[in-house]
Amino acid sequence: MSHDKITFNLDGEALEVVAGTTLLDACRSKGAQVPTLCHEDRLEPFGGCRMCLVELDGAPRPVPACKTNVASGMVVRSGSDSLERVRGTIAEMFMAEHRPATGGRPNAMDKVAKRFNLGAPPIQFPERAQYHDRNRFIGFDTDACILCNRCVRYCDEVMQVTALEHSGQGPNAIVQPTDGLSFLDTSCELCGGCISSCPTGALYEKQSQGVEESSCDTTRTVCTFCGVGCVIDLNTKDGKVVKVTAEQGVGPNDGHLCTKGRFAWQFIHHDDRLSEPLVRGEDGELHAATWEEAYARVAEGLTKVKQEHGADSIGFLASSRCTNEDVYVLQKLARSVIGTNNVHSCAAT
Amino acid sequence: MDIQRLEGLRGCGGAGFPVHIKWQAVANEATPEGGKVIVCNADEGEPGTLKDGWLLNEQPRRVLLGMQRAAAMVGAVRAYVYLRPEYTEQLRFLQVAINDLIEDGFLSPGSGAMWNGAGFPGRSVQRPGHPLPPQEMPNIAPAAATGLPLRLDIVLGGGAYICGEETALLESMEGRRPQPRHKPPYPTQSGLWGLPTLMNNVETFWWAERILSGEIETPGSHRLYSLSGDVERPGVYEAPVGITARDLIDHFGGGVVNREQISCWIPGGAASGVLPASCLDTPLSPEGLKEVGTSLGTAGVVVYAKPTQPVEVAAEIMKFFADESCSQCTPCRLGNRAFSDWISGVHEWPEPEVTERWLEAMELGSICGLGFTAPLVVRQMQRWFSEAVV
Repeated sequence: MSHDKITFNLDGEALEVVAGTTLLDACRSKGAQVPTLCHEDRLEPFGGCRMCLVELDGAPRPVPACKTNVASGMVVRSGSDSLERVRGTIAEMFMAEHRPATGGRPNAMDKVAKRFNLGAPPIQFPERAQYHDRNRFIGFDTDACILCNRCVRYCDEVMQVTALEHSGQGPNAIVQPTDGLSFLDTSCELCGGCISSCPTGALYEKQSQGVEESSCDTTRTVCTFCGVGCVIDLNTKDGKVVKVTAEQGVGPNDGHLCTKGRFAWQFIHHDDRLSEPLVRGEDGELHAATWEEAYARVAEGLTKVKQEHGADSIGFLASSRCTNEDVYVLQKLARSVIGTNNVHSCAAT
Repeated sequence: MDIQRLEGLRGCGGAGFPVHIKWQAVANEATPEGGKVIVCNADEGEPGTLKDGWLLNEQPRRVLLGMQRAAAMVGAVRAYVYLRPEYTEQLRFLQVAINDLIEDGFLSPGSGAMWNGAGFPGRSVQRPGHPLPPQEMPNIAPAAATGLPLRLDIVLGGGAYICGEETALLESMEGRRPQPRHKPPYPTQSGLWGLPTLMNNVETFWWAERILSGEIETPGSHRLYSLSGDVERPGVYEAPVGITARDLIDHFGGGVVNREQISCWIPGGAASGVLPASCLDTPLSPEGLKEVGTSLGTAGVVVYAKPTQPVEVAAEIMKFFADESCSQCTPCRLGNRAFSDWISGVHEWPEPEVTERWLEAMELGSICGLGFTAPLVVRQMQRWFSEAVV
């Protein structure tokens, strides 16, 4: 890839950028306020929403900054009155079909409406058919969808699963799980990445529906489901976890999560969660015990197996949710105390 | 230099781009691995236009020969006819003509295969049945008479208006939702599978063949007019560019049905908007129609007798555009929908300031010609029938 520098003119000033830079990135690097809706840094440029139009000398009409690469000598204006008027009108068009979502996620349309000082749109299109299915994780409020295709492209380009599609045309155009099926019947892996890419909150976490994300406290931590180490934010309300999100550009996961990381947090406050050791008694039932009693029972059992069948009849398997230190101690136990090399961590796979 | 003989001929698909410039552009491109491509746009979908279907019924061989000449002149080895799927009769004539041309040695053996183009609703990934990319169909044997390889196949269109837009057509051929691409790059530089692609309308190839074979000496002097609506003899007529609509209707079309008065008419397909009867003496030429705010388009002349109201015609056109928007870009998807509702009375017209802004956003903000020419229909209504629209 070339790292040649090229020069172009942006809003009356010469600007030097690396060849291959998009106009949008160039504008942003200079602090120009170019609005976007369908653009997401993790995805290929799309150019569908038309909010990022900029004026380019020699072009018959404005060009989408996200989809246009800087060329040497270009003369570009990013914020003329005419551009702002066109962008504001396109935002107004969106408001004619968009209805605020109920899922509780942030809505980029609020910011857009504020920037362009939008009132009631001059026309209001009818509501869409609502989408229902039996999946427990991904909710879809169709009336909030603005067909920016971010979820569809996320599913195609990042997950390469293609469980979502932009279907139909004209007034009947919709985004939906492929072929209008339930998410459960598509190739969907329920990773919820579509939710993270949705700018309007049309897609939301069903388990957290109605919880205003903006009113939550967040605690940054690392997901413990496997060894990748995804950075997650626990969204809490009144001291209880209500949602898991991940920020783009942070950690090894860049905002991506799997279905466990994003949706499997209910165990934290679940009634069935063990909060003390249980030991099976003579009666065959589990009874609450102290840690000392529990350790003694484990030691007794392992010693018996070792005596009867030898040390190598015992194996130790560490959960991927254990820390490095946990796993170190486990192999120490296996090798020094029991005397076997049968140790493995499922994080290795 | 042969290409220069086409000077004066303009594309007959609606945009009217000079043909020799397009051919020269493809000829000038370096030949990449996979070769260059010729596409004949036979996805005739502009309301009021029927000349391409007629040509493929009557003279498919000359259309194909035009493509063959183009391939020889620009150095292309693959050619496709992207055919409107409703044209089943034309399909049979095309297949016969292709077989004849293989026998006569103008096309490579194996030509005439049939593929599918993607349409709506469709998935955004490929489905089987689309034309094979060059790496899967690398070797094309030379044609017997010309000595040049040229494989010419047929692609059945996706069945949507937008499939006739050149880059949406390419997407459809590659098996994706037919959504127009952003230009540049133009198809002449990067078209089908990224190869330099020369795409022309059926009628354009037909004229090119007549010019290059020496039959016609003044390129662009005539057009095929599709005449329809309330005329006695609707049909396809070859007539001079610059003929007036009145002459076309009276001399070729046999006058208006039942000698009714004309309420309004369309000069060049639905996208060229509605004109009043007072414009019937306007020459049907790019310059003449520019005077009255529109273009020759596809030269599809549609006549409406009284009591049809112009606003009914315009409402039908806007509904068509709203329904046929590919829904990729916002101004086309929602702008056409709003104007369709406003003009048909489903919703009340907003303030004129709003109308103007929405038209402007469509004209400046749309990706392809569907979005940025649709406002013309509304503007023509404002100009000629202002009492009916706001």
